[in-house]
Amino acid sequence: MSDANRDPDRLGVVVGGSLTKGLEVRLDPERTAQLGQYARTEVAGGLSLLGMVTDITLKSVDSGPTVWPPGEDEPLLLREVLQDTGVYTALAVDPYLELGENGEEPARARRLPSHFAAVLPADQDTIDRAFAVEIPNIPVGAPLGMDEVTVPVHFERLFERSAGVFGKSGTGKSVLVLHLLDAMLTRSAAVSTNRERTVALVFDMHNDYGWEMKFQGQGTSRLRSLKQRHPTEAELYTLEQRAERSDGQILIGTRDIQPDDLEVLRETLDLTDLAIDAAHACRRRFGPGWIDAILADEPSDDVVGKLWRREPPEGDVNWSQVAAQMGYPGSLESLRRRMERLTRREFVRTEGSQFGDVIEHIVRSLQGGKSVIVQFGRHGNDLTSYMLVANMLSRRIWERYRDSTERSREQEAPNRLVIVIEEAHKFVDRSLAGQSIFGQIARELRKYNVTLLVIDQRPSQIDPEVLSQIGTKFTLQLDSDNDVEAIVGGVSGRSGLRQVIASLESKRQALVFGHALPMPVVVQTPEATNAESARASLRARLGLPEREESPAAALFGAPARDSSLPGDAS
Amino acid sequence: MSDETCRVVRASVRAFDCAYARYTSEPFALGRMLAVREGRCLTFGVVTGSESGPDDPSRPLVPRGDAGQSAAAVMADNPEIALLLRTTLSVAICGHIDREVARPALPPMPPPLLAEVHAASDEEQVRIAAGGRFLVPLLANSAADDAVVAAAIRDVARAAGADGRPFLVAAGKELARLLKAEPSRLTSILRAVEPEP
Repeated sequence: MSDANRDPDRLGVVVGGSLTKGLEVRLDPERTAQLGQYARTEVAGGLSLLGMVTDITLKSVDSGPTVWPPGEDEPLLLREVLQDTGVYTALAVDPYLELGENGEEPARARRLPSHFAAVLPADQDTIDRAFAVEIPNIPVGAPLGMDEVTVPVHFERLFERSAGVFGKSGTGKSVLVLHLLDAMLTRSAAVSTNRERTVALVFDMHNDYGWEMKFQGQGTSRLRSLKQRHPTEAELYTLEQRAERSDGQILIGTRDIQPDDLEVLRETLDLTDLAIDAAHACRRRFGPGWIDAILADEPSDDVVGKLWRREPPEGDVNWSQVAAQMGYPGSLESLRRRMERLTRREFVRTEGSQFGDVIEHIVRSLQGGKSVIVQFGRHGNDLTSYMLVANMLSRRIWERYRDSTERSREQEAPNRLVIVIEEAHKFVDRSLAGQSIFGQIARELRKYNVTLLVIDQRPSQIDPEVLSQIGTKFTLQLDSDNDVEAIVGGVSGRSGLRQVIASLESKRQALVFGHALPMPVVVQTPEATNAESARASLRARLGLPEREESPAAALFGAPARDSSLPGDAS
Repeated sequence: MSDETCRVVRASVRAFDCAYARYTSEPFALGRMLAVREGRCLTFGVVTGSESGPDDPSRPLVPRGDAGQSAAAVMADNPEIALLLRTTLSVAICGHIDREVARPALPPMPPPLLAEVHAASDEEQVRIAAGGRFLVPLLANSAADDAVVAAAIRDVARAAGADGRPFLVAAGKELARLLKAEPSRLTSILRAVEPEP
């Protein structure tokens, strides 16, 4: 093709490659390409091949120009001439999809273009053909170099399996998660049957997803969060006694805490294996009130009676004697100290069982189609509190969902629940994945209609088996090679994806790939905004009318707030 | 025959020689593209050499003139000398136009002997040299040394006017492809085309 007939958008031509190793594309002079950019070319039979730029290399035809490169004082012409003759830029393009002209389903790339086939940047039409443009979908941003184009993620597929948002601090994880949850609640509010609704149980460590999100950006520094955007679709719980705008307080009685609940606190509470064993032994011997029993200053008569049934020791019995009698001489004392520390928290009440009411109400809300946000307030910096509450709530709610699913016929199965956890690696690291309820949820996929949305900075710390069950991954900038490797491990074309992740910018740029997308994509994630236009666009993408009202609300008005919420509602 | 007229005096399909009727102090410059517009097709070539001297080698030119006298003044004082001198040019063929189609390749037959030789027009130069492809037959001629190639490229760039710079780059790239085994030669030609800044 002569220069006159060349497509002005052309990036370059195919000069080599294979399906397994990707295409080599010689970049035209004066053209630039970015890592992660989409490129398309034609293959036989009128098909388009859509791929992603996974590497960019500077090459020389022979050693001359690199051995004797033109000096600074050389004529400009020499440099211009050597570009694209003596030296050139090569793109590695991983082919992903074959796209037909007549609306056929995109298929995995199984053909190669011919030598010298023109390679062009992807356009909106190509993106529309490649991605699920049928509604509902969630727009997750613009592909690199295509500011006017929006990539949609299939709504159902995103939440039918667990998903993850990974990235180091300050990259925009929270804003992205808020965007996804906003879409979820918007969609759920508009569907007519409860079974179609997808709801979230959000363990909101940093108070981002409840009333408002504080963020660092230009202009707006406070973003309206889920409760403001969806007042009738979201319930806000807190751990603090006097929290504003809360629908209820999470209270945990000491009788609610089981030894299994302590397993995930091994690291944060510094509990040894023996201390955990001691907890199990105490639960067996002293019953549901085992924590209250071991927190007493002196062993109660009941405790003594249960340990020395026939011949109690003479005089007052102390805890050392109890520990020795139980076979945990050092560990019981250690356990007592840690339980004392644990129960000092304002949301833990001694000598009581408060949790049942909370669980009951949250399950009713979730299965009734409302999402629940648990805000940790000032306890957000206390990892022990976060892990205790998230684990206890999730375990019990998951059990309720499991029971409902197993009891029900298919038509009556509960709606889909997505549990959102931050610092996920603390719950599902290699040592805990077996005990943590979150490891179990991830492994069971959608069996009980419960999936996870994990938010984490250190994916390499997550149990690989759990990570492999994450269906869709949103990956923002990561620093550590181990974290990058953990994300792409086991994925086809991982070496290219590794390069792409390494090149992500520090803010609002994500590689998205997995179950909900036909191929990986690097996007500029949606901007944090309170603008109504953005919400209208989101509603259109979700296939909803502009009017922001649920069918039920439209017919009957907003539902009345349930006044029987547990805890100290404010 | 006018003194300024130049005609083909020796011809092959790769090169031809042309001569003026007499000596001229301003012959076609080295690297200039010339046109022979007679014969089956129009033939174009680049001046690779220029030589002036006596027609009869057995009668060498003897220096004349007073100190401080210019060459033109000496010639004017001795008009018989000019009758004994001649200027001859060597030309490497670099393309032809056959039935309006410009081809940067050797012509099917040599230009006719005694055909008039003219400077190619700017338009003819641009057509023959488009994309720098006239360099292929030019470089195949051993007479086209680095100075000739550089001068030819420079001359066509001048003829291209506003498109001179794109032509320079395109011709340079063509040259780079042709001289990929001789990077130092490429460098020296390009340096001659565009002097150091």
